[in-house]
Amino acid sequence: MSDWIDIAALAKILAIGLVGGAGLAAVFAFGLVGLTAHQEARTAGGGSPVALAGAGFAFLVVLAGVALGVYVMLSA
Amino acid sequence: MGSTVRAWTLIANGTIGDGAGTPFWVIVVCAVAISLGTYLGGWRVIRTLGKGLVDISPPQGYAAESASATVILAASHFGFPLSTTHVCTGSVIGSGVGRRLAEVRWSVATRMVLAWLVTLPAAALVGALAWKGADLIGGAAGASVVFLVGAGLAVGLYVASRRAPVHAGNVNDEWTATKVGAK
Repeated sequence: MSDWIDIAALAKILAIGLVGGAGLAAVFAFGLVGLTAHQEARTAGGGSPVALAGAGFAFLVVLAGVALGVYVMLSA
Repeated sequence: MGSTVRAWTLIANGTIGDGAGTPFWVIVVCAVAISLGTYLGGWRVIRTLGKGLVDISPPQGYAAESASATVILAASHFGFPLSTTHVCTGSVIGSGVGRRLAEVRWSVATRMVLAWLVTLPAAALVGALAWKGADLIGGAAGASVVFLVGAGLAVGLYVASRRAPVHAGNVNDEWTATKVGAK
């Protein structure tokens, strides 16, 4: 079976797909949650710097992930 | 991927040499053919994937698209060719399963998998028939006849698809047993 199917390569793609695909999308979702929390706090009068900072960090992680992916592909 | 196959064909035919890159006109022809296919049949594909398989919402679509992009780019980086259609379908099913298992229409998924299984031998058969036909008639005449037959079949398929057209106006209609747009 493994003569035909490269299990190691499949595992690599599965791992990268999970981290890059599901992982980054999840981090992006957390960013949206933070942004929403900040927005709700603002309409209530205050605003939530912690939520805003968390959202900014999450979006930065997503951008960094995309940049890393592009860099790895271009440097190959 | 399609352009790579065309390049192999040209190398096998002796049109271009061993180790030659894909000629630019081959890339252009393949890109135009793929774009035309999406332009003509895109709404139908969008409806099947986004409404038939699972009724996805924009966040699910976002998750499915980013997962597809990652898998396709990672696999291409390691040098494995894979089908964007298969990857996108898997992502869409995954985004549906992640939300609620019962929402996935497995009958639609089964029909798609059956179609994929049929595609490989069917494409082989069509390729063999096209080559045999062109070879029997021979030369430019053979190639022209095969091209005209192919163009005629394509027009026939397009006309058949117009009987129940899917367009921007009905692409998101409820998924029912009868085809949308059917009269």
